[in-house]
Amino acid sequence: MKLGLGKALVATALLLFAVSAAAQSGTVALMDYSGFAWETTGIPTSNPGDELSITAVATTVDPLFGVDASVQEVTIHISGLIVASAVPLPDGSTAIDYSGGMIEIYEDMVLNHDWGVFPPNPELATFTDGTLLLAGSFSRFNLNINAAGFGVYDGQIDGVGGTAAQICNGSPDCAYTFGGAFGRGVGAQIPDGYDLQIDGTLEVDAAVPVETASFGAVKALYR
Amino acid sequence: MKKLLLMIAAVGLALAPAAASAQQYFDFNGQTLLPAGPGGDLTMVSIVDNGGVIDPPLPLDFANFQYTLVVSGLTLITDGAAQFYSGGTITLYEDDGTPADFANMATFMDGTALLVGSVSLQRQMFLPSLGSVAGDVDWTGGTRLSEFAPADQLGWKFFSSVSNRSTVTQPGYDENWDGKTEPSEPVVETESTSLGEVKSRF
Repeated sequence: MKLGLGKALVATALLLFAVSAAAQSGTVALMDYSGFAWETTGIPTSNPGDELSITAVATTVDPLFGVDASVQEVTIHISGLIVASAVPLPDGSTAIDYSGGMIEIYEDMVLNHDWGVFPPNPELATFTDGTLLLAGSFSRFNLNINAAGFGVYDGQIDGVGGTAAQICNGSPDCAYTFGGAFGRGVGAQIPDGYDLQIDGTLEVDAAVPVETASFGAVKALYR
Repeated sequence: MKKLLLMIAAVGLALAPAAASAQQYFDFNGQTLLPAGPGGDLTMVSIVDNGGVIDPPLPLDFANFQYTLVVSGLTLITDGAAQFYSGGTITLYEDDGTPADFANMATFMDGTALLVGSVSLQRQMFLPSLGSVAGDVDWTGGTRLSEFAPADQLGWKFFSSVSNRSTVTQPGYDENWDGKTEPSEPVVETESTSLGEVKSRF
């Protein structure tokens, strides 16, 4: 089959438009969570080699994940985020880049999450019990913190395991955005031993259903 | 005198807050309209949903009611990389009627005002699409204000992530705010006890 260059460009443009429009339709699977974080040697001082850990509990979960957060406990455990660099910015904040890092999300019929007190590790089991809903590795994780100890974090995750790792159109390699805000515990209920409170979302980047079609079928749409 | 001191100590012990074994807060997820500049007002409407896993500071009936948290009249005082807002009103509504719909802000402001207070906060964008908000809340009114001891009504914290990504920001709004407001420590129930009953324990 031969296709003129002009027609090919038009068809390609139409296909890209269709995918782009779907992606911008606002259809995205969200998991809303809050929790606490700690880093070896503490925050705000982050030194290369320090490890950031986070434990959180989800309060709302998109049905695509296949769990009901009102009756099931969904807990998050993040580990192995290693400080690669900490760069002061002109506005007085600091940009911290991390390498590595894994996220594990569990669903559990027992509402037993407990952040405990310093050190947080003894209570970690209450965040890693139940069925593995999602396991992923961070391809990127950044944190920006100001002098007052407040800031944001933002990362990308490749889903690699768990019962919900294939909700991106059945793909075994889902992509997720993990982001939100954090703050120090001035007047807030941050358990002893934790450095930061966090609040954010996990978004499935490719939650929009994608329909497989032949190039001929796409052409037929525009005849 | 010794007995009096003992009784005072005993009463103090009985009224002391329990150990903070769990966190309490109102978890909200909402949409925000930003002011055009200093002197303008910020408005946020949100749905409170603790997901059955986080205790609210005030017992709420999520099975039969919808709860919304609304910030209004929050005036931008200082603009810049970090913005300072003050003079706002924050209200927690309970409603079993019209479901909250971000296409109609009025649906967030109907029902019973359980808590009404004042709010001030600082907002800062750290990345083009991501920022944070931190502030203070004092509850001063509402039908259930009296369920908090006076000391528990003041000095709450307001904390939220800010995102203007299209995936989470509803049409017609500027930002998605996803956060919580909480007392400085978990609120515990108080038990009325006569002095005689306290004495009898010792």
